[in-house]
This record gives sequence, structure tokens and C-alpha cells, in this order.
Amino acid sequence: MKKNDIIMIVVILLIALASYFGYRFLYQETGTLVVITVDNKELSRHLLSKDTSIEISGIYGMNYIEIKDGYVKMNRAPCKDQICVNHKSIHYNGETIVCLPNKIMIKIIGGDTWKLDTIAE
Amino acid sequence: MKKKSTKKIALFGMLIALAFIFSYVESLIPIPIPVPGIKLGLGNIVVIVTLYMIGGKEAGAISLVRAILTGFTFGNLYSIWYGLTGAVFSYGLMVIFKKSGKFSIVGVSIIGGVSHNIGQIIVAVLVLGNVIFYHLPFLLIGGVVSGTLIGLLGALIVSKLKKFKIFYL
Repeated sequence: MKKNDIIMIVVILLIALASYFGYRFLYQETGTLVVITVDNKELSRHLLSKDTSIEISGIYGMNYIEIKDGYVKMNRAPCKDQICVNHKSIHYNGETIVCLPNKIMIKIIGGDTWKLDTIAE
Repeated sequence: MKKKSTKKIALFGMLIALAFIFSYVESLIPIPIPVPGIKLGLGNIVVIVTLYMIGGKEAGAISLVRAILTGFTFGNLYSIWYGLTGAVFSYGLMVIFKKSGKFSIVGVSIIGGVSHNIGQIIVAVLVLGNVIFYHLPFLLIGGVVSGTLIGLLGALIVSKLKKFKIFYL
């Protein structure tokens, strides 16, 4: 390990920290809508405030999504790695849960600013 | 001359097979971190050892073939792009950092791991839109950790292999 290695590690970690807090500060607000996309095409939209269960069919099989108490979670998925199922439930604007093999994406949109805009209309 | 090129072919075949198997073994080990793209990068051990023991062009060839091979064998259309982009980024930056002479093998390995992840994020952003930036901090830290591990292993292997003439083409 040379001195430059340590410097590089510190720089990378600082960038990681900065992007983490930058993201939180700039973007994190509780969302309003849950948008489900299959193979990059929007399938359906749901209100984050309404508890519901959704089944999505993809090339690999069925994904089971649940909206409950203002949070969205992927309950079951047919993929091998199960990253999407292990993902924490999401509720902030912009957060996503993706099942890459099945090409299914859950995205939360609309935050306080979005709500204000639509009410203003 | 003929003897030398046969030896070279055999050596490369062995290295590529090794990198391929490492990638396979790695896919069997589940990592309990729910971030897409997080991995150990075991195949990079072969690439970095080749980089330090044989040369840049050879390491690049092995990295490319390994990416294509694993992509077509274990992945789907998208994962091939992720793997290829990650491998190209990773290799490019490793060569640059190694040539600068300012970093140790561990440092080069770290930048290899981190740039591999960044390459994959870039593809993810192009495919899914820029929602994946949320995972960036975790991938950067993961890249540092795995890069350090791979780098230390690589350094160990290089020091042991230096005794064997087989690697001197």
C-alpha cells in the first residue's frame, strides 16, 4: 500500500459520502405515486396511500408487489439473485426497486413539490 | 518460435478458463447487500495478476474474452452490456493507474473494482434512466472493499508466482 492508495481511497469514500447526502438533501421527499414499468414501458400507476397488492408478469415469471402503510415492497420474484425481494421497502420520491432479470421496475414519483403543482392547477 | 507460441496459447487458455471459473464460483456466493451490481470481482484476480506478470495487452485480451464468455454463458442481453462496459472501464483505468507508477497493486485493483461498478451504473442509467444514482455510494464503497481484497490476493499471488518461469513468455 502506497500513500497514493490511501489518498485515492479517501477521495472515493468522500465522493460516496457526498453523493449519498447530496442525494438525500436534494431529492428525498415522500412520494405520492407508484409507477410500475415492465421492459421500459409503463404498466400501471398506483397511489402510495392506498394499500394494494399487485401481480406483474414478466419474461421470467411473476413478481408480487405490495403497497402497504405508504411503503412499497417486492414480496416475491422469480429471479435467481432475489435482490429486489431483499430490498428495503421504499417510499421516497425517486426510489426504485428493480428486478433486472425480469425487467420490472417499481418507481415512486411525485413529492411535495409535485403535489403543490397539481393542486395549483 | 513455434514452441513459444504454443506455450503462449496454452497459458492464455488456462488464464481465461481460470477467470471464467472464478466468475462462476462468484455467482454461487450470495452477497446479502441488496444493491444491484455488488460483487466480489474474483475474476479480476486473474486480470490483475496477468497485468503485473505478463503485460497490459495480454491482461486486456483476457479481460475482454472473460467478459464476453461469462456474459453469453450466464447472462442475458442486458447483463452482457453491463459486464462488457464494466470490464472495459475497469481495464482502461487499471492500465492508466498502473502506468502512472504512483499506486501499488492494491490501489490499481481498487480503481479497477470501483470503475467496473461505475461502468455498470452508466449502462444502468442509459437503460433505466437516472434513478440508479441512489446506489452509487454503496457501489463505491463496495468497490473499495472488494478492490482491496482482490488487490491483496493479487499481490500475494504475484509474489509467489515470480519463482516460476512459466509466466515469462
